[in-house]
Amino acid sequence: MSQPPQGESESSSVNPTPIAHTALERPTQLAIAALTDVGLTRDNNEDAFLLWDLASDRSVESAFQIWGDDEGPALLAAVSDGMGGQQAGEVASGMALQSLCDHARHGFQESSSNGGPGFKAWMTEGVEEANRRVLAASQADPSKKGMGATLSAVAILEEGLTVAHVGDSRIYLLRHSRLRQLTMDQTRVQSLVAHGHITAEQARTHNERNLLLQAIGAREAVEVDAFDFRVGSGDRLLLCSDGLHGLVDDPELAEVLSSSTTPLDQCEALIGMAKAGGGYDNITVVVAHFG
Amino acid sequence: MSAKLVFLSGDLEGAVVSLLDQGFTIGRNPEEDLVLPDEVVSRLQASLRYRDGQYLIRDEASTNGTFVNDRRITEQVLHDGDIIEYGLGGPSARFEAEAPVQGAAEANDGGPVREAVEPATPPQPRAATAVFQTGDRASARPATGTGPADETAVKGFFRSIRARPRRPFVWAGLAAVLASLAIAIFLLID
Repeated sequence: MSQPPQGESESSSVNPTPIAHTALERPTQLAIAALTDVGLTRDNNEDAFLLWDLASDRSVESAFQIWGDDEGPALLAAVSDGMGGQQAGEVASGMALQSLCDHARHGFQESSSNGGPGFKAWMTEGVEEANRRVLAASQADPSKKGMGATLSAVAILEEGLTVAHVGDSRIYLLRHSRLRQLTMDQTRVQSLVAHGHITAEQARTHNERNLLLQAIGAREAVEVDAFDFRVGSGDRLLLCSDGLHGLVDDPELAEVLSSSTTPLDQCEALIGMAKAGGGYDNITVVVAHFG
Repeated sequence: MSAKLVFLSGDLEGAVVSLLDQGFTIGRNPEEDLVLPDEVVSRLQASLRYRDGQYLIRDEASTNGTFVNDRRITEQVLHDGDIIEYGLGGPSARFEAEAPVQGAAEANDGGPVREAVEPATPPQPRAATAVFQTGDRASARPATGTGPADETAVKGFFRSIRARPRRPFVWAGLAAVLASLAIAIFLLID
């Protein structure tokens, strides 16, 4: 039977299943923005973000890039949620981001192909380096004993995107109005969900939901969740600390990300929603739109 | 426990795979037990295991990840109604468990697993779906005749499922060896 060219839209009216399995269209532009906020109840902000333009080798607050056929993006985005007494949490998150950034910059300059599959190793090593540095700093200074941080990072490169992740900050992908959580929380609660002891719904209010199984600076060895993936035109990416995803649920996140406002507007809207939900924690968001 | 995968998208859309309380592999590779011919799906994408009255899905280090209810997973217990996506943007299926499995893991902790009694009759096929069973006993035989509308799914599915080696013989052989050992020891002691 020959398939009419419009077959797909025709069948979608018969079958309500919202599956759009179409080839990805190569994105030609990127708009990205980030914001962090102390929230409503904390005195200091232990969260931090990183937006680093690898091509021009400098930090940026937001970016809008358009690229042609023979060029592509080269950007590093990350969020980190620090923990530890006094000012130690801020030190840990800042140090984690700095270590990763140093290593990724080095990797970008070393690799001839502007990233590519080999970049996963650079990102993983960067996170491991961050772990070593934070752990060494916490062991060297008694006032920083036990400090640690989460780290969720994505390298946006011509060849594709590479994620490296430790802890319970998250990276989400919105594609065709469907929000998927790309990172897995490295928490006790997530482990309970995976083993079927509690439901995902119960996990949201579980009293151990902040207990991390992996963190930057906690132990000598760190389990880095690293993977590559591709984005298409129209995709939207969200990186956030648990100050956002702990207070705003997925459908609400999807609604904001789907809106036709700018990444910066969406960052502001998301932080506003986290505050409306209580704002008990520091809130950090990075939003990227691929066009 | 009686469970099945109902495919919602991809080449197998509409197909129902009955699970017979045993593990199997899923991937693009023709060697896997359930073959999903989709470029998003890895050669070996995921595996399903049955343990203590529950089904576990595990991502086998796939390129595009395995998702349950839009969250990427490494290994996770499945619950009735869970939507599994094999690779980001790949084919998806709904996991349907007919018997409640709550508390099954705790009840059977450490002890021998008493499997839920299989229903005497196979699950009734729905209109416009084909029912298949994976595993030894029924290697990809549709349990019912299907109309012309389902023919693609049926053919696709015949290509998609490989019969597994018949394990009962292995077990029978093992039992025989153990029995003769026991008799030998008994005779020696005697």
